[in-house]
Amino acid sequence: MNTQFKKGVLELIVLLSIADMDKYGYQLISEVGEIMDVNEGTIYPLLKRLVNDEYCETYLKQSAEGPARKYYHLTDSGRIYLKVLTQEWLKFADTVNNFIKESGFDDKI
Amino acid sequence: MTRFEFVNKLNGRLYLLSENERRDIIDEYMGHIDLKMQEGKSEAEAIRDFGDIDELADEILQAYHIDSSKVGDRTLDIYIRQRVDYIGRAAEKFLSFSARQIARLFAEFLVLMLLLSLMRWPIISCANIFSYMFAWMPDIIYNSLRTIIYFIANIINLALAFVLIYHFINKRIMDNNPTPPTPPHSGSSQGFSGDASIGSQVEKFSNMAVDKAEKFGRSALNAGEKTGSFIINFAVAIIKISLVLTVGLPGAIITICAIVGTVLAWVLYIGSGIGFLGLCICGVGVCIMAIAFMSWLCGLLGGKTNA
Repeated sequence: MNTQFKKGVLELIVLLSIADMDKYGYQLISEVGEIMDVNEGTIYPLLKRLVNDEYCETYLKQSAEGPARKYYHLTDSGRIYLKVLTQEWLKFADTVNNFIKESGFDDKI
Repeated sequence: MTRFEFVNKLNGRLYLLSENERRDIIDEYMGHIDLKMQEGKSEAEAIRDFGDIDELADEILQAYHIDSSKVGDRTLDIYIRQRVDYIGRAAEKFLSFSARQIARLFAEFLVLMLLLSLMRWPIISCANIFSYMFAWMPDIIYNSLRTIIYFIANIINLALAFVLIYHFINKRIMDNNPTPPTPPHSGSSQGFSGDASIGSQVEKFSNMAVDKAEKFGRSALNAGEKTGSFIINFAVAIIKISLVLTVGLPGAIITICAIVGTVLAWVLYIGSGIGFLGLCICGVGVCIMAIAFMSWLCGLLGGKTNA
């Protein structure tokens, strides 16, 4: 898949995956990895930025095996941001899909 | 690649980020590698999944809105920043030592100086013999050749001195931890063996030292055995204060100016009699040193303490 596409939607996917449930980094990466093939290393800086922008917050939780894990939780402003982002994406995807249909190129594939 | 090397390389690429940010990111990666290893992957495999380190670092920097291609244009700037940072860390490390450690260090430094002065002899003798080989030539050519030969000999001498002192600082100050760390991983000592050139070895030493200092710098500041009588402590305090004045972080700039000035003066002095130019450069070095020192002192009095 085109890496530019991935970069664009990675933030949306990460936000979506923690929207309903707090997750720790590794868990999150495994889930995102199922949706698309992405370099594992790049999700951490993205999370870091989301935390810096206050869309996410973190807390430590003891785990049964091994050291405490850092969980990511979507904040209220993160939720608003996710809503905007989702709307933007749907609109954008719609426009692009329509454009493909208009061009008639999808029949040729 | 081992975890140790990974951290080392990543740290090097991410120096633009603040230490806290870097530590945070690296902690996350370490946790990730741990979990991967629990799943049965090897450390090397887990690290390989991160892909190319340069690309990874680029992506991390992009997440912080730093364009690494623009950064590349200021390599020298960054190099100097790293070195100044390094000297600052060495000074910080030194201040954490106990009386006994400092006494030992001082003795070792004297030995090093003796070694350096002994090292001059073979090189100067070689230059002597070499220049006699041209004694049959006309005076003008002979004299200029002689000057060039001595100049080269002194450059070699200086390079050796720099390498040795650098090595000394790395080995004796950076690696000298009050609480010896458990060796992180095999392969961490690979830097010392092999037939690598001096340059790359120095680079490896510096990488290792920076990494180690980073890891243990904090704990080292508070650790260290406080032994010795009042007089020793007093003497140590004076030594420490004078060292803060000369090798503290603001002092790094002063030291660089002073070294450049005196080194140039020395080379030109030996190269061409009493080098007027050398004295001038030395004077400039001393002036810069004095100005830097005064401004630092003003900053200190203004409440901005660095030590």
